[in-house]
Amino acid sequence: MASRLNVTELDFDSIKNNLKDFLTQQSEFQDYDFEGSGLNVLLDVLAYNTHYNAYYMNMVANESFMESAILRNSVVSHAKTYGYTPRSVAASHAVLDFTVITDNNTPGTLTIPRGYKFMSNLIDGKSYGFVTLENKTVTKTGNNFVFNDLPIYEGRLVSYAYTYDSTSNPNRTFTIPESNADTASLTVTVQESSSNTDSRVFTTVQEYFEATSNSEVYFTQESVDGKYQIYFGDGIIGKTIDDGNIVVVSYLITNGPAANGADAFKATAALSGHTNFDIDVVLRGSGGSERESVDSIKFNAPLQLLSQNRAVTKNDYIKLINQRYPHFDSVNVWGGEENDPPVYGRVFISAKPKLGFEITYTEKEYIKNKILKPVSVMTVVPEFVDPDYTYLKLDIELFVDVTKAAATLADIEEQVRQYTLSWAATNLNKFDSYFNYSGLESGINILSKSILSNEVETMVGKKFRPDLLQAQSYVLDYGIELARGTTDDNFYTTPDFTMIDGDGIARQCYFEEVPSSYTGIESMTITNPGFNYTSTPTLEIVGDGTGAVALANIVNGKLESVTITNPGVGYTSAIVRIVGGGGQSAEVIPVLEGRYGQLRIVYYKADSLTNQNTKFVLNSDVNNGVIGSIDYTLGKVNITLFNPTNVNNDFKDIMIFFRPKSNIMRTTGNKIFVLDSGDGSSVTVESKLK
Amino acid sequence: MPTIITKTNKRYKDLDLSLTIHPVRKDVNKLSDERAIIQSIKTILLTKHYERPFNPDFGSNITKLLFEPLDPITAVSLKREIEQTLKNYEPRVILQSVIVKPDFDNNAFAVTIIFIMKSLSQPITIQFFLARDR
Repeated sequence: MASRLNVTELDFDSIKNNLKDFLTQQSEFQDYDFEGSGLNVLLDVLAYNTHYNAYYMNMVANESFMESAILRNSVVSHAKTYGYTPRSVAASHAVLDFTVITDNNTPGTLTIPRGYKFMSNLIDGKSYGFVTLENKTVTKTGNNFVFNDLPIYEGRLVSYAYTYDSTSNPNRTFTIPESNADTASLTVTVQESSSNTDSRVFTTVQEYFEATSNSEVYFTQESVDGKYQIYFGDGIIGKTIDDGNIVVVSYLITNGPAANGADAFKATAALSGHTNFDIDVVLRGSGGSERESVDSIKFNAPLQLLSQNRAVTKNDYIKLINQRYPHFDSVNVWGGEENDPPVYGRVFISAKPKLGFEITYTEKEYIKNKILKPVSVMTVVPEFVDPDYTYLKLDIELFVDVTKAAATLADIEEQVRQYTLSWAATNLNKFDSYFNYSGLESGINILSKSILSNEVETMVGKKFRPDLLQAQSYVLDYGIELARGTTDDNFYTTPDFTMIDGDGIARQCYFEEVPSSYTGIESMTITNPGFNYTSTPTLEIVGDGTGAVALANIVNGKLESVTITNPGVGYTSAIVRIVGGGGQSAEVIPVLEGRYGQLRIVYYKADSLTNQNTKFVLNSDVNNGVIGSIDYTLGKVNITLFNPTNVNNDFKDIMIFFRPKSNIMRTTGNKIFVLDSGDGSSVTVESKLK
Repeated sequence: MPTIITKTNKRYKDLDLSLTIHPVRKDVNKLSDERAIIQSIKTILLTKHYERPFNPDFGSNITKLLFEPLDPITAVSLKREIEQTLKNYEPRVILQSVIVKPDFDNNAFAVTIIFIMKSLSQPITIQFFLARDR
């Protein structure tokens, strides 16, 4: 039976083989199998042509769907049907406190004009120009004009003027000629004509159904060649423009992320004759980013359709902030009802910037008022919460056989250190993450053949900056259960600080953890009061300790409270049996005293005879020197009336590290685990040789 | 007495790549046996590497060699190239010998290829000139 030509193959070789199979059925030409034959040349042409068409048809089909499209202009075009405009390149921006110093105090005002230019310090050998985007006027205070929180943006301001002609441009569309224009900086004005200089400012459209025939709005879209276009309304949605109108478009041409990190600026020109300036950097250059990638558009455009450009659910908020303000590493949003205590009617937002750890007031206000307010539910108030960082300290111990690899021990240790930092960069440093230490350990094991095994020891730390002038109380919330200290290495604090002891002598001090040595029952938590109790039941405390006695207190047939008359000794676990009393269902959980610990402050002093250092407790005469309490179960540390005179490091921050009870840790709300790559002691690697 | 008409069984049948028309049938000419093979050898030798789509190895390097000096050394290279290429891509022939002689007067190489077609026993000889055309 004659075989049919198989038409489903797509690649050249399969198509050619199919044609050869087909030709086996005839005897007119037999040389199709030999590469040099004339027939083979014909087969090549036919197969190539078929392959070419198959590829082309495949591409056409792929590009027809958002999921499979590869070319940017196809993806952008699909996004357009979702009402989504991809984000353009974004300029890096910085905030300055800019002071103009004069030699007199004659009152007056000074205006810093749009486009006033500053040069940054060198970043990778290149200095970048930053400009102001708005005029700002201040009045003189003393001898100086002070511009507080002056925002500046990296890039070069350019303007284009187009004379509108409806015959050649019936769609009222104007293309921005540069592909690296930041559309957020666009200003559009329309001048009546060359003879009539009246002009109107058009703004970008926010709400399509609010645009009427008189709204002076423009629309933006990305064109086929990757450049942005603005277009005007048709006189029904958005005001239209007339022949002879001059459209002036002004915007910033920027280098995107290249200028991020600029932290020193100088003014380049005199300002109304003044040349003596003082510049403080409030926020260093940040937030510059490349235009939205194809993958990002594919991800965000359908979400935009789902959320209908409204901020209602948690993901709407996260999507909106990420899309309109691309300066954050990680954003988390939760409803106020999840807080403790609950705060209804509010949405809490926490964000970790790409550079540094905190976001400025200006940025928070901008996001709240310009991005979220217009699209959120009316009665829901967005509120920013600063991220709460929990610092991790990882001590990694390696068991190494150096004969198995060419690298030296120091190289292996450095490799492990770098791997750990990069692992942290992808797995930690963001909201809603969890610390998966077994993942880290198995990652380290396969780094090098010479690493036979490893162990990661974790500590969690909190940072606080004590007031050096007066005694204050501090609460450190670790948010996870902590391990009770049994040996010294469960607790670690840095740096040392100076305090004045009772004799007025300055001492170099450290914190010390004192786990409570009591092993009795601290209190009882009533989980169910029960019912129908007619007499007082007996509470039998059963556990590994001895001597604990507690009395029940029944009110209206229910267990109202429990009084502990003897805490007992030696308990590490206990349960309570409720016997008698006639009622039922009451349940009580005993709380062991070991849940708490104390903090005190110690210093070292050389003994006058032996000259050896001996440890002393500061102010031990008052309350045994106790300065704070530790709740291991809740992971909270309270420090009361702490009054150091100096903290012995540059930042004046004190860090207190505890070992967590479990190495599987999760973050919620505004908490973030951070492995600080700038801190050399955050990862230490030690090796044991085989 | 009935006559027996014998018909030689042609082994190889190919299309004439010059695409000349048969005067009677008004169809494209066919080549058979040694003519088919000679056309094939010509195609193989005059195809440069990377000329065929998806088959970059196919063809020979002789066009490049023609830009080398006209001397016996190049002639040896040409001979080796022709032998190797035919071995690789023309399984229907058993090569007897390849003779390449530099022809100084015509600024070309005279090539003689003698081979046996696998289905016949008689050797076939082709002679041609290889000259640069630019």
